[in-house]
Amino acid sequence: MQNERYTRQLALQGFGEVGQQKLQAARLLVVGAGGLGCPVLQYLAAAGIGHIGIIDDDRVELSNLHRQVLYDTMDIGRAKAEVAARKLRLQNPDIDIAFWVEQLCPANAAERLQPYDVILDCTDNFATRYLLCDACFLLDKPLVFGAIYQYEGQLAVFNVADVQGVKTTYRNLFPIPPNPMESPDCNAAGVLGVLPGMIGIHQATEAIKLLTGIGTILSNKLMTINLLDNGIFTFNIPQTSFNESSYPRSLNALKDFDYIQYCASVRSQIQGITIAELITTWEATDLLLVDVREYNETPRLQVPHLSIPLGTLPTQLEKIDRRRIVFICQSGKRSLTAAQYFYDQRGSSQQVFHLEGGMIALKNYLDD
Amino acid sequence: MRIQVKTFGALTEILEREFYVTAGDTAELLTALSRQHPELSHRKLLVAVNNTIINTPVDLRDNDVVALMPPYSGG
Repeated sequence: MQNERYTRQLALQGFGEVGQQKLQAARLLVVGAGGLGCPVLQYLAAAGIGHIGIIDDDRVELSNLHRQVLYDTMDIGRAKAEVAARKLRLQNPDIDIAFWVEQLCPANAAERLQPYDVILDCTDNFATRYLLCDACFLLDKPLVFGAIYQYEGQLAVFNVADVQGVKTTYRNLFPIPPNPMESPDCNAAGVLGVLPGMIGIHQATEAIKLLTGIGTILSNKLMTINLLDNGIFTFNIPQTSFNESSYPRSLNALKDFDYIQYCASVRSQIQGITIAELITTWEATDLLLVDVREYNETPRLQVPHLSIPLGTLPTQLEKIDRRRIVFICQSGKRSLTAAQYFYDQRGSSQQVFHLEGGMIALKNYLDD
Repeated sequence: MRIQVKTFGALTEILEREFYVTAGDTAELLTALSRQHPELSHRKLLVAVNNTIINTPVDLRDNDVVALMPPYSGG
């Protein structure tokens, strides 16, 4: 260890050589190398965390650069995990960095998380957040959570006992995932570039405190920050039972649990239909096709249908009035969201379907 | 009971960021808000009373502060 690199940390009261040695021995996994992951990685690598793992399957895009300040214009198109590892090795050659260009998923979660002492949730979607929540609970790993929306951030440390021995998880905040319509991501809602910087640095700070034993951890607390009015709130999270039973209770069950389906629709009343099924029924008079793509997306649907872009669906529900409804989009993702939303609003009086594979699959089918 | 309500995240697109209402307990408060704003009724919300998160309805007293917050997914 190059002590000179860390002299300003070593000089800190309550930190010193012992604190630095704890960081040097620590193993820390950062899940997601985007807006939150960049500042987390930069500060934790600089602080001398001995072993850092990075997992992310995403590639750098131009629209990332206003907030993901570890990357530059030359990195566009490259795998974030790989670029991050290369840059962090230059920033601090004394530490060991491992990376995986892959998505954390139920099949690899236990294997990836197991070797690490602390996990940082820097992800950008609910499927991975609930997977991390459950996997860290089952493995009893501290999870430093951060999440952002436009100008506001949330922070917490899960699975770490407070002085009373109480631990909580993300499910003590939100037992059941939201419908995707409820919570747009940064792509849809926008985000001020400095926000993930602030929240990520708070996450890095909690990780350092956790590893070195200094200060008070945000355990069983949810902290929120609002950049516009400088409002900071800290909420107590009591360890109460929550009203959700359909989540995995063992690592074996977790391996087979479909978080994408779970977070897209906890309820399974939405039926997917195939192109072949659709073509045999699309002239039925009780069936209504609803295209939820934007008006300019092609190819257009060549049979009678309603065109209601997903964002305008909440205000146009009354137009969808037949007994059987099939939602259609480009790939089958937005149509599932639309079908779930429609079902939530209207209940089971109408049968709700969505076209699997969307217009891309339909075009391929017709071309063959 | 006169209650102060604070809202967070995307909820501020439906409700004011801060407002005052009259409600006897949190269930009554949420029912009244959902009646005025039907789009709230299916939302997964965290409810906190005086900075402590609750998951069963609690009685409210004058000047209590109720926070309503959705989950954020961005990272």
